Amino acid sequence: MKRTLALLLSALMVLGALAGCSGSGSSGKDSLWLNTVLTADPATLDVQKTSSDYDVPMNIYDCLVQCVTENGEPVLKPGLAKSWDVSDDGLVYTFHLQENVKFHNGEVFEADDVKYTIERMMNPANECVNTWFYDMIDGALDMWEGKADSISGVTVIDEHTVEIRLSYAFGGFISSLSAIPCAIYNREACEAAGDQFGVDPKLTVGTGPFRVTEWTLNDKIVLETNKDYWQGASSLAGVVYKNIPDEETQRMEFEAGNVDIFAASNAISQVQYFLDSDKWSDCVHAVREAGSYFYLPNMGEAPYNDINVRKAIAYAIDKQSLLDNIYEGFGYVSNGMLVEGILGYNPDLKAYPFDQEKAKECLAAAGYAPGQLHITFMMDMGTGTEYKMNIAIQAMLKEVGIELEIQQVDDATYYQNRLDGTIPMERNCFWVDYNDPDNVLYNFFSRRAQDSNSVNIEDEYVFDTLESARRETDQEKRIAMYQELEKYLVENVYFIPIFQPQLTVITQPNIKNYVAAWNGWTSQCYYGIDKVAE
Amino acid sequence: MFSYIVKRVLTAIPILLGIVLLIFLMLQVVPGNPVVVMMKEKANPAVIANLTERMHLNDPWYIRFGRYVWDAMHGDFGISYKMKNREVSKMIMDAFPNTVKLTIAALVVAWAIGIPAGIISAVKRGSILDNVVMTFSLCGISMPTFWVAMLFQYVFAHKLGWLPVSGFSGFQYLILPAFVLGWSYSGSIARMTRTNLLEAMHNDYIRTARAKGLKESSVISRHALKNSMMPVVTMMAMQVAGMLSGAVMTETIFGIPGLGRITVDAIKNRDMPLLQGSTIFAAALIILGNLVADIAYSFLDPRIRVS
Repeated sequence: MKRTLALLLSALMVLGALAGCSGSGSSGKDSLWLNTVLTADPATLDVQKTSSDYDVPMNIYDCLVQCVTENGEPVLKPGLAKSWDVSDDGLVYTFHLQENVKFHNGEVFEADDVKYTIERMMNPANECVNTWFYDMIDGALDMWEGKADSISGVTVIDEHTVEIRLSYAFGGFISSLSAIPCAIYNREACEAAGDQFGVDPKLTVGTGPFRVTEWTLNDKIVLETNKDYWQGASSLAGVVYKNIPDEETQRMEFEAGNVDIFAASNAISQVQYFLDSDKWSDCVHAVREAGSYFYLPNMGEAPYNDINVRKAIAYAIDKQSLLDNIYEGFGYVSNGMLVEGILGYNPDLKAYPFDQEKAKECLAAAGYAPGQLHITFMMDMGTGTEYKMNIAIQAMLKEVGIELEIQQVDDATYYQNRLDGTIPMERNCFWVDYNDPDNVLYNFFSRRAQDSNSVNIEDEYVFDTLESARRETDQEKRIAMYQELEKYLVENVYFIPIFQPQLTVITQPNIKNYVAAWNGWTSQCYYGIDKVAE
Repeated sequence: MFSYIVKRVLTAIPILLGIVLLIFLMLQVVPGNPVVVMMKEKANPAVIANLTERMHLNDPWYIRFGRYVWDAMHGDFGISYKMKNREVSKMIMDAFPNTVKLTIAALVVAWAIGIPAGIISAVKRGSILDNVVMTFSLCGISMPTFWVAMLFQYVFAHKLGWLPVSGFSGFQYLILPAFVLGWSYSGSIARMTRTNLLEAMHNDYIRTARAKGLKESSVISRHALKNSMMPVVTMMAMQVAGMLSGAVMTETIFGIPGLGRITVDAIKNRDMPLLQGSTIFAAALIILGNLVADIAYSFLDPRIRVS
């Protein structure tokens, strides 16, 4: 009797302990919380220190300039800067800042915060990775190289006016300020937080429509609505990012109603299921992604330095087939890097089409008999779309007599090779941070970029054009220069364009005003979305 | 008794140190500069050189090992490479309670199913019930955990909607993962209990107990069971230790923020300090589990106490 009682009591104690593991914060009971997913935790919420974890930052910070999506097109609008003047020579930008804007910690936003933000990025002690957004500012590179401890080109004129002087006229400057790495930080908050800014929710502060209140690793990140948001408080109670690494689980949670927004890009094969369903067929939002997949040959190595070899590879690839079979057709074959949706898109540009005969001719012109040419693609250990594309191309190349070896290496080896410039050829991709052709092409083909990638070109025409186009103040002339350059790059096969994917996002029927972002990013700001109780 | 415990604890310490050294050396053999992986496409030679220096990655391995052990003894297991500015020890200690909850729940299921199943099988040996129970146990042991997890999630959560699909915000979120893990662990417990109980039932003192006129249930519970539990207790201690180091598959599929998730992410991200920290933590738990099993032995078997 006593023993049974003891057993019963211990069982009850165990159950009691387990019952105590209820989570804090929202659990979806309050219907005004927007539930979305992350496949992994961001490394940090400090957007100056990461080049990919933009989901939460886009909701908790603001930039001087906003890029909003209207009818699927990007439109630049005032952000924390309500207006700006540009000098005639394109060197001096004077920003007139919004007044009465408060950071989440109650501090008022002022010009000093802008100066602090830019200097924080360029301070080598902070090891920020997005310094290239500000390095055209006068004195910025001096600070980055440790020659100065402030930036001479940024001047606080008064509490609501800040002047930025560039060392050269950069036509895409205003556009680049709309990218989230240019989020404006509060001096007091950052100095108080030290290295815990972006790590500890209590210390991470911005001016954005939501504020981060909870972050449990591998579980969730909770944002609450900023009631004092300068553009008016959101109608949502907040946003919950659930950490769900597995796509199948994400989809099941969406179908169970626990997730409100589901980006199907990881699970393209499931898009048709939603299109065919009764409940969600009206809630499927498709948008062109402002980016594309392409192949980059290492022009500093044989055999890729032979234009006939590159042409042979280009002619051998059936891009439509890749799109249809690997991406279920959700996308558009591309002819360049400035794909539709990016400023500078040239609808008349045509890349080398799929033509096996021409491929064989080029191969012969390069001096190789069928089966004699061996090339290598390098990639990481994944088995996703990149792997499938490489396998498919391997078969396509074999048909024209080119033997392709796919070299899969671990991350450390891959990134070391990239740094050393020894990747033979690889699939790459790029999605714009802001709507400007410079953002795309400079990254791969500028002289500076050759240090940290394996493109290895030594083409003065390309280098000079990229530098001059940056500095051109006449927008039409700029666009023409980039289009001319892109044509040259495509004709000389400096890269092989494949396709521009389409992003499909599915929302629950009770989510209103959802707008897929112009750039096709899954990271976006949820301000303006409403959720109605079912 | 006390000296026995002290002796066992003292032998555990060099074992733990040896494991720390082994893990440390193995991870040094992995190629590549972790700084390059951390920075990815934004890598530039100046920042890489800076960071490599600052993280003392150029020092010889024995100096780095010495520094690591010294820091570890003060509770400092370094800073994660991937999750910026987070202490590894804090990440592990935040995740551990979640794994503890899952472990308790899973073991309650495993033992509540396994031990009675083993007893019934032994007592009704050869019957249909015995065969059914043993088949059920075999399935639990043989089916891969990730497969069972996905199956349960699909059937009970997605299709039937009885339980949540994933997450960790309350008691009901533990039920499915507990049954997934519990089923697999219960299998070994059931078999072990059955085998040992059968063996114990063949001893002379059992015949004596029956001859004295004791009820069969008393014979089994008061005499046979206690003497057959030692190997089972060892297994139970090892199960606790094993589960506490993190059920990787189950945690990933059900979205439980435990040690298993931390470890798997550390591997994916080449996050060396975190990997070292979580592996050493798991090793320490297993050593502790062994220690507890040994001590429990000495309570269950007076012969060990005396020796």
